[in-house]
Amino acid sequence: MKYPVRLVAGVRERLRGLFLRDRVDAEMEEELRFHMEMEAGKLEQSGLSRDEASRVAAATLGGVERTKDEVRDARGLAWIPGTKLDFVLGLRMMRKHPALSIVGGIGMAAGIAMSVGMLVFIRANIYPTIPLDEGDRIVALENRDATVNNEDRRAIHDFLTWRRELKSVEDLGAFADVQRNLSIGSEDPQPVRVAEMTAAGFRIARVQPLMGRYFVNDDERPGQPPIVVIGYDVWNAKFGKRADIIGQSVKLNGVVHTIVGVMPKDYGFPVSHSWWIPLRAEAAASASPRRQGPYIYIFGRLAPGATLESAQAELSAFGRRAAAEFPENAKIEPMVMPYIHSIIDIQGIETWSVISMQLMMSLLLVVVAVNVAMLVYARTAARQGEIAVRTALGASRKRIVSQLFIEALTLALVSSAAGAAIAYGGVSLASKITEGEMGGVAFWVTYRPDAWMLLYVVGIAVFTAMIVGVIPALQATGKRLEVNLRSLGGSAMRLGRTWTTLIIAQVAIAVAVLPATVNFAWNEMLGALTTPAYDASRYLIASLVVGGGDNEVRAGISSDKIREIVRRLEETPAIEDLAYRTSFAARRGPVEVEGVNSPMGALGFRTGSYAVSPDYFELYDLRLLGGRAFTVADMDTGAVAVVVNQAFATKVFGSASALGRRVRYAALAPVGNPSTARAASRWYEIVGVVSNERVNEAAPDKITPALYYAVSPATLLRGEEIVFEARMQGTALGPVVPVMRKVASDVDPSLRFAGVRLQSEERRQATAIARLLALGLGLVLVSVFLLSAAGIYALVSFTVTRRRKEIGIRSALGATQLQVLTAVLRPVARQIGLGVMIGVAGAAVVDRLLGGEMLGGHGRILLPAFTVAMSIVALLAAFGPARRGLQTQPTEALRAEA
Amino acid sequence: MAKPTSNEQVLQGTLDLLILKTLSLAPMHGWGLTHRIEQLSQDVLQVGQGSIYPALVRLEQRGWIDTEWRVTENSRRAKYYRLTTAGRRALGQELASWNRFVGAVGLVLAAEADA
Repeated sequence: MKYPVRLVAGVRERLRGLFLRDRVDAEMEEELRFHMEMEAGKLEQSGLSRDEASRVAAATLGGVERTKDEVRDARGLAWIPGTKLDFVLGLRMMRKHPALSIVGGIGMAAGIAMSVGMLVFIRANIYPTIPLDEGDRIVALENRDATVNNEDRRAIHDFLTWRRELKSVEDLGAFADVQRNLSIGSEDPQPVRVAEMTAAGFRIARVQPLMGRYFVNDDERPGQPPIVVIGYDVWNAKFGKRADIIGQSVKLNGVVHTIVGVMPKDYGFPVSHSWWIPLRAEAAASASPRRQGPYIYIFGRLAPGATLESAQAELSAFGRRAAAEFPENAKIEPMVMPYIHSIIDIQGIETWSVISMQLMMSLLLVVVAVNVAMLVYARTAARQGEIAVRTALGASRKRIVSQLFIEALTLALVSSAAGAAIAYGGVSLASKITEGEMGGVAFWVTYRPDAWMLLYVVGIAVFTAMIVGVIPALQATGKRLEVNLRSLGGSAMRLGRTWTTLIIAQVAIAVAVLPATVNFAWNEMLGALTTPAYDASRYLIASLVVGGGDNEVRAGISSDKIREIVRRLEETPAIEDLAYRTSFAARRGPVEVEGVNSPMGALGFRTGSYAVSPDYFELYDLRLLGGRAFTVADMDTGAVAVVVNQAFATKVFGSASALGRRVRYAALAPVGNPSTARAASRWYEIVGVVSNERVNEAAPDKITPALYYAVSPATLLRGEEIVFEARMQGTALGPVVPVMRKVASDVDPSLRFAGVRLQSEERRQATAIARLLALGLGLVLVSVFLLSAAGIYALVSFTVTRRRKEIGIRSALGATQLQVLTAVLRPVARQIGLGVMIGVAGAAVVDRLLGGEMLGGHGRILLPAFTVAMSIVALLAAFGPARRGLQTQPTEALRAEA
Repeated sequence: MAKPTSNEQVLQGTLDLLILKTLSLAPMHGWGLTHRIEQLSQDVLQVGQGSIYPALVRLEQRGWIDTEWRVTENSRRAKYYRLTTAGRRALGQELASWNRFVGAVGLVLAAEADA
């Protein structure tokens, strides 16, 4: 009985204190005031004057504020106003040391952004929750081919067996992600991605259509009229949300389909689809032998009571039976897994590898935090006196450490908020510019912050604050406190060898890495400005490969077959013009021009080398600026004719004529492995100059200089990638792809076109990656740069604080400001100089290792520029605290001595 | 913190007992409590005025006393403390333990040197 009463009363009282703190405080105030007035009244009656009575009353109570503190202590709430005060102090310290706050804050924000961004990405893409009713019970089923250790999605026969007989998985369905040529009314056809899906695909999601209906099992039967279900976005964008949408028709690959339903907003099952047509699974199975037929994804919902393990056990039994029954299934193992793992192809991803990725990204934060800790440590040095006084007045070490921790936490929380905002912004931007699975952002991918992420962000802020605040605080409140009390003005704290080494290393790393990084990022960004000189949306690109699926092989293709493919494709009305090329001699190394002296005997820039079909220039309307185009004779194996583009001619020969000059691939010295050595190639003669394929107004020199050879039958047989490029009638890829596939398989059943895509699309993705890269590099760059500057700032700031007495004495003895400044800056300059020297040496080593790539071109200017910039930044960083040192009044410094 | 040295200062730990006993006579406010204790001890015991309030908070948290804002005879608003049932029970236990303590001390002090 006793304990519950005490417990309830105690908890109630404490909660009252926590949440009604202002009221509790006000009541206490009133109570104490009443007490004092009563006491004063009594004293007045005994003959004291009113003032005297009030004074004595207050004294008897033992000080109102102290009593209040004691009452708060008794309540166990003493830490609340103290903590609030610490936060206020923390904010004040941020304002008082803006440089530290900004530099440390940005650094930590960048580190936190990396860590949070990685986690957000991982959570959204690798461990997402499916936003459907009981979405965590939706699974995927795959056939795994043990011979190639990869999934085999041509499993329509097994799918039908499983659908009939599996007990532990319900609503078993399948879909194929296909492209169809859509035409609405009289509009031009355009390609759309369609989910060809069984009726179970809608049932499993447990989402009702917005209008009309979705598929039923009957729709899968052959002979049923073609129908289509559309998504909200399509209904909105293509049909203006017309109310009479049900019953309207569209053409998919020329076949009229009736719209029977509209799915609600944000519905995208199976991945990111807005068009659904029935998958006629039975018909597809009867039309194809085992392990052939449509490329399907199989899904289902775990039956009540079933687990992944029990489903796997049942499925494995099916697998063994099929393996015994059908020779095709001998090496096939069916697997069940979380739905998304199958779609994004991360079956069996190891949790530890994801965690290690996350740790790697978070490591940057630790590095940043250690650096900021260094700054804080240096600043704490300036507050040694304050700490010593507080200790003398009875503040415990715990109290002081907790104050410094909360100061750090204030900064860390602000940085975390900024970092998290950057992370979320960056990740969702990245997902917008790069395409997700199957050409859209999957319906389960959301970057909305949730409670867990909030917890992580706060946790990481606390962790950062521990490093930034507690480590310096523990060091600063160590054993030397008594000493400090005796020498209040100065500081007995030493900036240890570790810290100093860190600063030198920092400067060295900055000098060694930044020029190369900047060079790389700058080139990437300028390069991204290069655009095709033709309408890339009308050009397609495709590779002609031998073999199918994931079993492509690199094999030569005879020129007869290629000629036949070209001939038949050129007859296709959808294709206006066509050419092909190989990336000839891509592995031959640097190009050398006869009579042109350049470092290493080769051109100091990258060139592209292509073996092209003779009609290649025509395809892109490249103008002949001089000399001649290729003739049939140039296709002979021993031919030496080469055509260069304008960029090559200008870059190598300037205004002089390129015609008749000779080029070859330079000899390569062996690097490590003797097999990397290569003799120089034979000399080729430049017979023509053509206009550039691309334009770049901002940086014309970013257009890749190119060498074109006439492709020889021998080249085609070498097994290099053979790339077909074509100009289409319109911009729709849809009708062209099946034609190309058919032509290839008609000529040789083992041939097929892979990766057919629009050049505009390819370009968009390529530049998206370049942009992301530039963004990431920019972040790292800013962090490294700021931190180096900050390190120097801390170093000088510390030196000045430590040498205040010395500076004061020097000033008192008549030293000029310049002399004082020199005295302060000399050791710093020595450390920076050492850092810069190591950095330059490091840069040279890095450059050598990368074969001169990093410091080529602009890089040559960048290294000295960065060395100078680094020194200027270092000087600026050093100047602030040094000036503070100059302002030290001799009297002040000497008084502190006393 | 300066420690009380005078004999008349209330012994550590006995303040709670004094408060409980005094409140068992009648509910009263903090100031009244300090003077009542002094008065009852015939001014021998001096309750530190500042220490009475933390003690009251402690007792309240244990559920032994309850508070209530009332108007005094002089029409002033004041916080009154009163014993709860649990407090009354606790007072009994504290009294018993105090008596045991006093008796034990008395026994020690009354001891004669062994022959």
